[in-house]
Amino acid sequence: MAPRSRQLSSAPLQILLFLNGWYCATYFLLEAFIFVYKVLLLPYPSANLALDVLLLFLYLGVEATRIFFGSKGNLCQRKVLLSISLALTLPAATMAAYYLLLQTYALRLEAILSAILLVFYAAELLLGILTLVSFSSRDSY
Amino acid sequence: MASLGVLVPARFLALTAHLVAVLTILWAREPHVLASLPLEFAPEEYARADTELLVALGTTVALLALELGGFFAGVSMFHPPQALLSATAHGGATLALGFFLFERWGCGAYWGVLGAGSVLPAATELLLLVVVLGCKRKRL
Repeated sequence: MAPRSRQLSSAPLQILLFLNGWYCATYFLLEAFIFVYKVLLLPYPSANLALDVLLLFLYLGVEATRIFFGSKGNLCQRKVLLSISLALTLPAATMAAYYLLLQTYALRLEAILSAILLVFYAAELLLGILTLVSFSSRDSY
Repeated sequence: MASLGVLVPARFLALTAHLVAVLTILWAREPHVLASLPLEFAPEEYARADTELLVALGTTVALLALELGGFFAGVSMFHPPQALLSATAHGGATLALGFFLFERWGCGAYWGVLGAGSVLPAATELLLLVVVLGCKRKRL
């Protein structure tokens, strides 16, 4: 194991990313079921439904990429990977805000789930920036 | 501890699910307050029942905050017995709250859910916090 002075990876960030991955998997499963519920119960114009479902799959892709890049960047102490992950946090937060506020029918449950995601993003953004600063403070490989 | 790879996310998801259920009830308390009152009631009785439910929900949120704090501080994240107890208790509580929401149970039922599903894991969490932080032992 590298001596502590050479190990700059952030354990809190890694834990947050790990738990965020699990939370996102649950979120997407739940959202899929919630969309089925909404389509059955509420009058959904098909254009809006297509947009919402497409955005959900796009969100899945962005989240998977963000978490993978962030995890690898943190563990391998690579600045580029970690900054890509931080940059992807912004569109991810925008989509979480869309599902919280702007989508056609926003249920209470979806609002709470998206709010928890936003809390995750805020914590990861903060920790990510601090980790990036610590990586930049010395030469990394 | 190979089981930790499963226990840590399971416990986190159970805690979050319980939190989401409690916040959902907090957001729309009215059907449950009405369920615990007789058919004819005065506004003061409604206010009293509403306050009772608010106190119960507030206690749950505080106990959940205690558990999440201990979890994220690392005190009990890698403690398999606490993880198992907490995941089971909060998972069961989430299930009970699902019934509570859909069947519109009254406030009386909520205290039972609170006792079994929130107080027990929070008590063990507090014990762990005291042992690890207070007595400076690595593990219980």
